[in-house]
Amino acid sequence: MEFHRHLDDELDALRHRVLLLGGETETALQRAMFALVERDSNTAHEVLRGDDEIDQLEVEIDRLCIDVLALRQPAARDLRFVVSVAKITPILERIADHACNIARAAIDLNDEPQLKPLVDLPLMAQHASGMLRSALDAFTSADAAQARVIIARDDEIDELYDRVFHDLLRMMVAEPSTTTRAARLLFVAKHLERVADYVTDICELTVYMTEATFIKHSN
Amino acid sequence: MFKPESMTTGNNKADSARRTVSVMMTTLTAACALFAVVILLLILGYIAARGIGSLNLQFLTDIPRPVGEGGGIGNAIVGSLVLLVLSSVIGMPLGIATGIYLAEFGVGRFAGVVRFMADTLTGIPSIVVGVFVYTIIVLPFRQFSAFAGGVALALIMIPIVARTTEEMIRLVPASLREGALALGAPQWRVTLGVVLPAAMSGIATGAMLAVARVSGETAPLLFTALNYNDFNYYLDQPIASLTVQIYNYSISPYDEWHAQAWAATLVLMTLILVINIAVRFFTRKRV
Amino acid sequence: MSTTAPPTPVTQPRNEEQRQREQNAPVKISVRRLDFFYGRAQALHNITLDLSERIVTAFIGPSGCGKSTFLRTLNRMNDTIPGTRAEGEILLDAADIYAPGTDVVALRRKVGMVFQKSNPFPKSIFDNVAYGLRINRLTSTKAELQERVQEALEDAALWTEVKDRLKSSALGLSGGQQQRLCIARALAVRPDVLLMDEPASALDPIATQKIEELLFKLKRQYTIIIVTHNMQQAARVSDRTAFFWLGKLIEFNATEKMFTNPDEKLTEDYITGRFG
Repeated sequence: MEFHRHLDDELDALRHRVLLLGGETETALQRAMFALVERDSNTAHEVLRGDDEIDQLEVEIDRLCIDVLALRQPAARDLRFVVSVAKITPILERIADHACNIARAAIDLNDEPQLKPLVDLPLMAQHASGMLRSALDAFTSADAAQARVIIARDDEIDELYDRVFHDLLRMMVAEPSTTTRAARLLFVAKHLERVADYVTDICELTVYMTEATFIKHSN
Repeated sequence: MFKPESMTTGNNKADSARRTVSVMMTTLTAACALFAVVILLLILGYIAARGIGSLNLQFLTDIPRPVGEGGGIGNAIVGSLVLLVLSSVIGMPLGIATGIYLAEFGVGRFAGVVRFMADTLTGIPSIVVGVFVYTIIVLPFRQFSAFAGGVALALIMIPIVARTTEEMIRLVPASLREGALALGAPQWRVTLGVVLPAAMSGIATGAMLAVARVSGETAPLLFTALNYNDFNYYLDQPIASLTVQIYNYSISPYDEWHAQAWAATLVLMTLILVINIAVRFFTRKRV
Repeated sequence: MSTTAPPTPVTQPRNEEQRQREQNAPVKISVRRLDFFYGRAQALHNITLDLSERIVTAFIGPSGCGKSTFLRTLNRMNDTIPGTRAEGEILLDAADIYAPGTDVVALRRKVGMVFQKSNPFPKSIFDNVAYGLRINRLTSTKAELQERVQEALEDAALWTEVKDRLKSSALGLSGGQQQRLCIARALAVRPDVLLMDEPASALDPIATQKIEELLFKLKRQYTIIIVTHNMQQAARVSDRTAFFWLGKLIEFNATEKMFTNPDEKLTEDYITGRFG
């Protein structure tokens, strides 16, 4: 009963592009954290330069989505997929922006003496990029169950963020000269926390795409 | 894949053969059509040329006179018109009603028989109809009459009108019927109010053909309306007609009467033409 | 600073209200275990569904799936085809329209129909619309007749286009106008239900849009059931959609549900074009 649809080729192309964008975003995040932890400004600059490519990919996916909606008028499953892709793309782009911000913080921090060896921040980053990778997997394999598991993991990030926040705050109070550097690190932590929130959004869209249920704002 | 060169190159053998046959067939059909039209024009032209000389107002209004005294066909023109009106009044309602019956309710054995009879009747030589009416009307009343002539012509008309009416009604799209039925119209109202008006111009064309056909009939009138040498307005009396007048003049030995027969033929032809145009005019698609 | 409280935000989107109305719409036609036969061939199998008042229900499905046949059972239009037979019940306002002694003429006045091909009678525009009124003797004076004809033409969004040529032939109208004339003709007798059998399939996009806009207006007054081959059209105009396949009702759901997340795999495959 099934036969080849031209639409399927276009949806596959769309899926491929989103994966590409997700991969680029994930790499940007990891490299930005590498630049921070290893005090490697060159890598940070590379991350910033790479952002253009990510922006272009976003525009390309946007255009593909609009074309498919306008020309193929997808319905049901297909419609949910295209809409989800259209919504996930800017989320990924924003995650990449956060990676850039982290890279910029790394460049600034690398010009100054190291405040302290970083422990919790790399852990947060590891968690966040792990969540991102799993979320993209769940999205491409339309695995709502896995998406739900990932959403639950957001709490771990929040906990880590609280810990980092309090550590850095304590440091600023104890040693006012560290305030600028500590504040930068605090922003990095905030960026990572936001990334995890965005990953949660991706997972919610995955659930919508698979089950047509809205779990956003439903708690 | 679309290859534009295959559209223009004629090197393919099958292609050129196909084109040759196409040209031949187009030429052949065009030649046949031209032949038919030319024959018709020749006939019309010949009649006009032969008839126009004897045509004048006196000829159209006067009654027949002995050879050498001129005379005309006024009474025959009136007689033909009377016979046509009479036969139409009798034949049209019967024919149209039969056609409606066959088209709208005509399923089953009886309708099949009626349809077969109508077809057979169309093919019967008209003189047989004349003899038939002579037997059932002229003999019992011991009187040739306009009425008998009208009946004879009507009998020829009925099957033609019935069959064309049936065909025309069948051509009315089912969607029209459904549209009316869907508005809550009963069957008879659908037939009378929607189907019949929709088929009317076709039915009128059929009726016109029937009139044209009977207006050229001579044989049935010889046994029924006979002829009359003066104006007659009584239906129970014999009446003149163009066709019988033409017949009588053309079998006479006199050149003057031959010329008058040609002129009468021209008048008859014109009469049929006028009827055609009039019917077309009144049944043209106004709505 | 003003002391008045800011306006309360509208918490419910506007169509939520409409959705409520649709969900609570009373049942107009209730079909129970309907089987339908053309001679020995069974065209409909055990159809059971409720069609609600004043909403647009769309019937979709591939050619020959029985959607048109089903539509035509609702005003017994199939009676005109010899050898057809219906079993089961179709309750219109709780009365079985296939019960013996049913007045089919009265039924068809209550359940109007618009056909795929516009079928104006070869009469004037006015006489077309007046036809149903005249044969059913629904008006007593000439003025009343004119009033009803104008009202129907206005309801069908045709009045301004034809008011100066009511006496001219309906056949001189454009395809889209002819179809709206047929809608006006059906509306003139003030039916409760309007059946539409692919009413826009022969029209250009602009004429189609006019008909679709008309449906939005008409559903405030009429229960509308539309058969369409155009799924986007079903999505655009209907509140509920029924999917038929091989003479069976596969799924009957709110239209937005049908087009975003149908319950049945067959429906999904059809809607997404996975089978032809």
